[in-house]
Amino acid sequence: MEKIFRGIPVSPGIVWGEALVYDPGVVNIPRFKIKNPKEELKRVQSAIDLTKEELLLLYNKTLENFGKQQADIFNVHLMVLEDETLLVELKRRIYEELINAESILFDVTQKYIKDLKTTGNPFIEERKADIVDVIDRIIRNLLKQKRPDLENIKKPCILLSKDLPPSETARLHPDKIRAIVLERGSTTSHVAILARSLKIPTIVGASDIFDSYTAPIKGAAVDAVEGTLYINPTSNTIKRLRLKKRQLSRKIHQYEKTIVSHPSQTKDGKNISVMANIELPNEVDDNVKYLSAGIGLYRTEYLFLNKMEPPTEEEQYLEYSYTAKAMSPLPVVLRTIDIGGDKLASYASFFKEQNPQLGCRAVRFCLAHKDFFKTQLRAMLRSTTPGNIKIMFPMISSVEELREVKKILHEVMEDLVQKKIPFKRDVEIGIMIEIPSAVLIADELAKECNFFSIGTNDLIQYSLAVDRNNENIAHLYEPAHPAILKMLKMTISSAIHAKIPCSICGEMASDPLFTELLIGLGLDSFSMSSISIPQIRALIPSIDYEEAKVFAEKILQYPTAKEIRSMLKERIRSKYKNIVSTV
Amino acid sequence: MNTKQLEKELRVVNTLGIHARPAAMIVRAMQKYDAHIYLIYNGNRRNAKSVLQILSLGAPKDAEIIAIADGEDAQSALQELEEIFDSGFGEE
Repeated sequence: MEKIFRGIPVSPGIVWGEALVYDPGVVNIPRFKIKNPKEELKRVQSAIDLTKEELLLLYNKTLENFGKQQADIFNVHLMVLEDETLLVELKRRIYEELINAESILFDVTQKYIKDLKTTGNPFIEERKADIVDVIDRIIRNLLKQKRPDLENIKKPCILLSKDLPPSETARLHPDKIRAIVLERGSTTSHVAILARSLKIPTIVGASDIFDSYTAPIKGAAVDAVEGTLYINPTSNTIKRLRLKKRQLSRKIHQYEKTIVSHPSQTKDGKNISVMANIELPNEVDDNVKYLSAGIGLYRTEYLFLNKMEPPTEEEQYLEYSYTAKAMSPLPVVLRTIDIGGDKLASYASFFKEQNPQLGCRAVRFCLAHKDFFKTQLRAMLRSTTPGNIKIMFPMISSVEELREVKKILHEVMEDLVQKKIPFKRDVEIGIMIEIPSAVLIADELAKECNFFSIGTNDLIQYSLAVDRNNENIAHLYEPAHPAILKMLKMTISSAIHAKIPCSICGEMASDPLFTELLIGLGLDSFSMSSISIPQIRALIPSIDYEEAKVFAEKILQYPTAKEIRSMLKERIRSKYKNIVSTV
Repeated sequence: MNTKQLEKELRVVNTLGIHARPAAMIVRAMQKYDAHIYLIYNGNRRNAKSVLQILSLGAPKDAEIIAIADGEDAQSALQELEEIFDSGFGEE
């Protein structure tokens, strides 16, 4: 029987076929009395030995394919296997309580995880996933339940799982994994980031798949454009998806034709630059260089996730300068790390802060960990010589904060000068406008930096007090809210007044519903994931800037999001139907 | 055993605190010694030869830790421990 589940699409595409249910967490751990503790101890020892072999194999493979930094994680996993207190506790409890090793291992893991929950240090808390990962391997070997090995999948398949442990995420292969659907995860989780960069269609946050579907799963169909998973899809569903897929590829072909024949400017000749958001240096390919006017947002978080330790200055320098060179002479905007909040908590829903979104993240985290911040700034500054680099700071909420990060940047510059390390002294410094207070003082902020980039995702979330991952209120997350449009106008006007460029890099930038409106508000630079570029880029040549200004003025008069939305939709239907079909 | 218990105050100096790599470093170094070695932080006493226990200390930068050692080679164990802490585990 077909069953439909909905989640958040994080990497687009439409795929159907064989499904593989991958379940890294052992759901049911049996608990039973044992008679012979000596035998039980032998049983657990051989499970540990088996796990050791598995991990050594993984270490070598990962070392070969991904390098020492990614592989090092398995060294710590191996040390956990030899942990004397773990082994002593196991032995003691097997003899004293006469219960099976699986259930003791489970108890012990819970104890250590509980301790880690209270540390408040994201790099340490992140290790929770590693402890769970390695002990799960032992338990599986005890139960003789092999983890499906993602490395050795024979036939390409659609991967369905609750979550993916860190040791597996690093080794996903796009040739074998055709699509991914997870019960957990968010748009910014590690898996989502990786899937986008590998172009694997992916849906996260599809809750309760396994609890509510107990029949055998044979096939699946994934519509990662709208975020729908069909388990055991009917032939009708597949027919419909096949049609949709064909329409999509026809559209993309049409976009490409427009892009080839029209420059990136409005009908009346105003230049609009469309840039790309990237997560990983290897996303930069000929296509990105051909389609975009540069990298408008390079999120540096990925470099820091799932590593034994943060990358060194040299490692960061290599990544940044690689991208700079690859894109040169086009600009690359490097954003300093926006860690904390949801990002590090992706595997660890236990973040200590009660309210991480309003907590110690982004520049706040950096200002609290200055050495760490300076290392990143040094690497960024050094990469200004091989390419056209700009540096951007996220989550600026006050002029004081901007001054403080600039002061640190200057300290790093002085140090580089003294050590005679080359960099561009006049590198452009910009800030993300994503906190309502920054909008209200945008005129003051504009005097002290070289450019703005509006991060609409956070701006909407903070302005409307809506956590978009909370499904009870997600419907209140509304980019078309008149308050949001007024804030955009305010920010853009302050930038124009101060004669500094202003760009937009949130999801709103890639939604064709808003393109004409944003251009009408005076925006001339958009940054979005490269997948979204063709449509927006193809839409721009049919927009008239003068008309867009009038249209934007009119839209700003409406008091409700509902009216604004229907106006925007009507506009698409009447003027851009040939280009935008999905309204 | 007649040896006296020795103790030493240590401070975490690296930016990231005792995360996985430093924990592994401490354990590897301490496993060489016969002495029982414990780290005390935030009211918790942890075995310095267990990577799980050291990790679950959750000690951030500037954490003040008391190390205690008991055994023939306690003195040299604590000395090496201090060097490791002072070096910031080879990190910034």
